[in-house]
Parts: sequence; structure tokens; C-alpha cells
Amino acid sequence: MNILMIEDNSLDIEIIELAVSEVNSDLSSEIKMTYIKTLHEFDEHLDKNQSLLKKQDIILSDMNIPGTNGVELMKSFKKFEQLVNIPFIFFTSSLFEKEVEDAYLHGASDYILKPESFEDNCKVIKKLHEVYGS
Amino acid sequence: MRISKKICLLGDESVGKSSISTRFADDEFSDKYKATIGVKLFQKVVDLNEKQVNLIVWDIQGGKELISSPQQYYRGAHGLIFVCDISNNESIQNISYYYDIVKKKYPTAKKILLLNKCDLSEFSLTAKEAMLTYKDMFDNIINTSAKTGLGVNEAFKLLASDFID
Repeated sequence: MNILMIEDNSLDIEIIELAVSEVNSDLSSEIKMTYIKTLHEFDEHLDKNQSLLKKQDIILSDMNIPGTNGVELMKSFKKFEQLVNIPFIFFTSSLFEKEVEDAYLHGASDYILKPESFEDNCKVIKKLHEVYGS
Repeated sequence: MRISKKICLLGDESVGKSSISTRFADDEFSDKYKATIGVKLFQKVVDLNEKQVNLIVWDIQGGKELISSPQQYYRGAHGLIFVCDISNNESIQNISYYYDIVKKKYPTAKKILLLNKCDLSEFSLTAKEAMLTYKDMFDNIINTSAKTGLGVNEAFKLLASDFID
């Protein structure tokens, strides 16, 4: 399973990386993570070479990205016919009603609060694999 | 006049919360089970006489092992719909667990219990005993089937009518 994570916080990336390797130890088919840390990097993939984006099973995006927000990223992502069916999931530490409504209005597949504990991060990864992995 | 209200669905995994939401919002049902991760949103305007209530339904991931703090998902709820599966005794007993999570924070929110999957099974003795315990805790207890549509719209309409009283 391929997951592309859009996340600017290095610590959050580190936690997910550890959670994924923990979960991978129990899986027959591994989860492979790719990270995009900036809006510039995201735009480069979207505008110049979409091959990395096309092979993803899900996109896991933070809501707060410097220079933009997650919903705007999702809107530009879903403009492309080849990408529109890839589930776009928000994984964020904010849960404002307006943001959640906006996310679903524009095609989000799930909206998940970032867990505080490492164990709960592992549970999220496991659950994503169960639901979107096959 | 149109008002918007946040409704949260609580209950164990696979009791039919998403199916109830889909039946209510889109009048559809699918046999294919797909677990909710985090929260999913559904929305529908309920017409009551000359008033409209926009119900924003927060279908929250089921199970006691709710990832992260459940209170963040329930925050600001105007109505709470608890869902159990009448063919699954554990899901009926676990209703008290979800009730305990929210009862202090939302004492005034209307609380409805849905006994879902009525099309699949008769009420067991455990289910009947649990119902006696729950009848004083909830404003209404309604038999539902997301599959046939039984009771689903009635439950949401009942909730909506409370907001315009």
C-alpha cells in the first residue's frame, strides 16, 4: 500500500514513520510512505510529473500547510481526472466544524484527528491499511 | 427560517451508524461494510411545517478504542444519537459506556437511542433487559433498520422537531 503524506512538521513525520514500521512488522504486504513537506514540492509534482501521485492508494494531508490549507490542496489535486478517485484524507490536529464541513464539501474521504500517543498512531495506520489497503 | 444543528452518532463499530446516516441523507443502503476512520459528515434539511432544520450529522468512528480524544468530536453537539445492533448484545451493553462519556458535558442535548438492524433479528432477553435500563436515560428509543429504512427518518425528524419547539 502506498501512502503519500503531506505534512510540514518533522516531528509528526518521525512519529508516523515509526508507527508505520511498527505496523509493517505484522503485515505481509508493507505500507510504503512518501512525504511532501511544502506547497512548492506539492505543486511541482502536480504540475510537472504526476507519476508519484498517481501510484498512491491514499493521500494523508495535514490541514495547516504554510502558504495554503489542506482543502485548497485537495481542490487542486482533485481537478485532475487521473487523481480524482484517490482518497484524500485529512490527518490534522485541529477540529473546527467549518473546516470539517469544508473538507467534506470538496470531497474528503475521512477526517482524522492526530492522536497523542504512539499506540494510537499505530491504530490509525492499521485502520487505514484495513480500509484502504486492499 | 432555517437553523443548523450538529448531531453526533455514537456506538460500537459495525452497528450501522454510517448506514443510518446514508439512509437519512441520501436514502441509500449498501451491504458492503466500510469502517469510518475519524469522522464523516452528512447533511440534510428537514422540513417541519414552515420551518427548516439543517441537520449536520457527525458519524463518528465506532468502538471503545476511539482514536484520540472523543470529546473533540462531540464538542458543540445539539443532539446525540446512540446506535446499537439488536443482534449484538455487546453493542447494546456498550451504550452505557458512550452515554457516560457525554452525559456530563451535554446534559441538555436531546438523546435518542436507535435499536438498529431490526430486520435481522428478534429482541433477545438481554436486549429486552437492557431496554428497561435505558428507557429513563433517553428521550426516545426507536426501532430502526437502515436496510429497509424503518424508523430512520422518523428519528431525525423527532430530533429536528425538538430544535424548533
